[in-house]
Amino acid sequence: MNEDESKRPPEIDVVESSPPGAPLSPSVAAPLDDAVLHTSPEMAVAEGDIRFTGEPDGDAVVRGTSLWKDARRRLFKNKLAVFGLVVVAVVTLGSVLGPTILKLTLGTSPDYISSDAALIKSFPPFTAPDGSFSWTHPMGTDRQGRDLLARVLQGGQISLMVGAIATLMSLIIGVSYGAVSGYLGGRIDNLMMRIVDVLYAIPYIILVIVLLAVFKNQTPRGQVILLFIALGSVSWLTMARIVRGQVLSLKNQEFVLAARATGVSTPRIIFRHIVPNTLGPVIVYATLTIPTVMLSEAFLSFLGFGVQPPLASWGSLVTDGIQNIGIFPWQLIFPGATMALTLFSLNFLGDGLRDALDPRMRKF
Amino acid sequence: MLRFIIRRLLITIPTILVVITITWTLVRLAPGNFYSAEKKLPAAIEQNLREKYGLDKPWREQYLRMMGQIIRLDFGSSIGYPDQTVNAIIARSLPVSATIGILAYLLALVVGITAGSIAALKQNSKWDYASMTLAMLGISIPNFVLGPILVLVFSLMLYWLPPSRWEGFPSWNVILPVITLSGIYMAYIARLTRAGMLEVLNSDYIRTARAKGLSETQVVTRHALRGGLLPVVSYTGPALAFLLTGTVVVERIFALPGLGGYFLQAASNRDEPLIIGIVAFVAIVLLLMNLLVDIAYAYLDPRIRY
Repeated sequence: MNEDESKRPPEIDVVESSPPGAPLSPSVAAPLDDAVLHTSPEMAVAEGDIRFTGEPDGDAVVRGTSLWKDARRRLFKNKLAVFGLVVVAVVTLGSVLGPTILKLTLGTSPDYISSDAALIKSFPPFTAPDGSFSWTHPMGTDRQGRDLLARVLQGGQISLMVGAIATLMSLIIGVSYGAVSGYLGGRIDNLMMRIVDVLYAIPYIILVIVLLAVFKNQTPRGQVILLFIALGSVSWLTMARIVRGQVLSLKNQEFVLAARATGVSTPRIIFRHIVPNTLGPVIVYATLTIPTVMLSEAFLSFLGFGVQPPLASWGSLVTDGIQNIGIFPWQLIFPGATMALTLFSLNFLGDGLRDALDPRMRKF
Repeated sequence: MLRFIIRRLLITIPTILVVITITWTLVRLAPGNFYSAEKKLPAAIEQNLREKYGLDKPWREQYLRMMGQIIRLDFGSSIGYPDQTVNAIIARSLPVSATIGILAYLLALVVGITAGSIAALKQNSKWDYASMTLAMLGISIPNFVLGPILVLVFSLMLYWLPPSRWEGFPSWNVILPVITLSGIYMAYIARLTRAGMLEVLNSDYIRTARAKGLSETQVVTRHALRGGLLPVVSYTGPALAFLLTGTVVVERIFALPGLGGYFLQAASNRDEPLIIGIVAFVAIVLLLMNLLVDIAYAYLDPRIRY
């Protein structure tokens, strides 16, 4: 797909562009629908977007449906996307609140090694040290005898945080770079985009490994911050291209002209008038960036360059689990399955958002 | 076309230089160096070694020397493996990585294109939903989770396949690494094929082909696939980059003596010539392959003219 060339009008709002409260009876719905769809065939309006409410007699009112309302409706119709949204919400809540809840109810915590773990440390799921059934460790324990569920939830905090913060970084860099490049245009745009081309061709994960490896003598917390910076600073390129493509088609619109005519400064035009109009594709792409970044974090942790103990992420838990896979398979399976389920849900949510906000981008 | 190739080469060369410069700067900026290990060398010996590798010269001279070496494609000798040149290490480990990578990509192409085409031809059927859900699973399950689980099932539980080690190409040992590595590409290729085919199947020239009475098989294999697979061709470039990171993981899981393992070791040991040698080599291969992919794309798609 080629975002650069996409010349899409901004959010075209069919109904709001007609005078509000114009007396329309439902019988003219079809012609209006047709006319609108013909005048701009490219725009992101799905069938059935125009709905008329109100009484057929006299003052029929057209209720405006905004881009966001439409998107929400389409999103909630998509079962897989809703499933993704629910899972992501549950996993996020579980990671944030879970460790505390576990401590209060089952008495386990990510760092707590129970005294009966002195002899055998790895208990299978739902098993007490003497081999009988027990609710204490629903996912079993790790090699040190720590509750695996608590570890997985704690790992979720870091994995989700890396995903969120690195994506936020890529969002800030990518949106400002793309918007400035697209709006200024001409030689500056050309130069800025050639830089992106060059950076695009770089096998960046190799550079990230080098960066994390050579700066490794860090505190665990420092390593996580380095991870944010490294992943955030390499994942903004596509975002910049998408935003630039959007800005190119927006900058000649009347509202920008109006802003310029009233003497609004260039930075203000870019960030207050243009950028808000690019939000649809930006949100879609950001949602799809989160699983990618989380996967990169897990990959780096797997190689030993990511999250360092005593901190844990899903990637580092999986790595620990691999060590004894033949004897204690649950130590790999639970963190691995949690991560896969979360990534799966985020991907479906991203796909759903794309279909909802931007049906034209439906490519992959 | 020639102009296009030249223009692409003109972007490729600075890109390689940027990659190497960034790598070199990172290695140099980081605190510590190869000799700051726990076991301290006597000062005189360290001094001699530094002279041997040219580390006593001013940094400009060292940078130029390194660039000169890379232009001649001679990456010097490794510090971590003092009796071996970087070229020898690459020559020895590349075949392992390349075998696994190429086999994985071929497997991914066959399975992915088949699954994607079926999904597109039977859109919204249960075949479509099943293969697309599988594809999404393939994208979401990281290879370092998939690999150990395959080992667990096929080696440790069923005793069908060896769990690790490299024993040359035609051997049972290749199967699990190749499947592990190809999982995610299968998934991507299936999704790309489906999207590409769906777009093509609705186009006029397919209607023409059907109208002139071709059988459905002919329509699909002769006409639809050629256009529908273009996204897959353009995915080859990014796929190569991913294959690289994938092989790093797979080599570690299955204990294969490939390029990735040496790279990780070099990065952890601060073995500067080896890091820069491998990064430069990989960047050059990757960018040249990307160039080839672009040329192939232009050749395959008559709508594109440069």
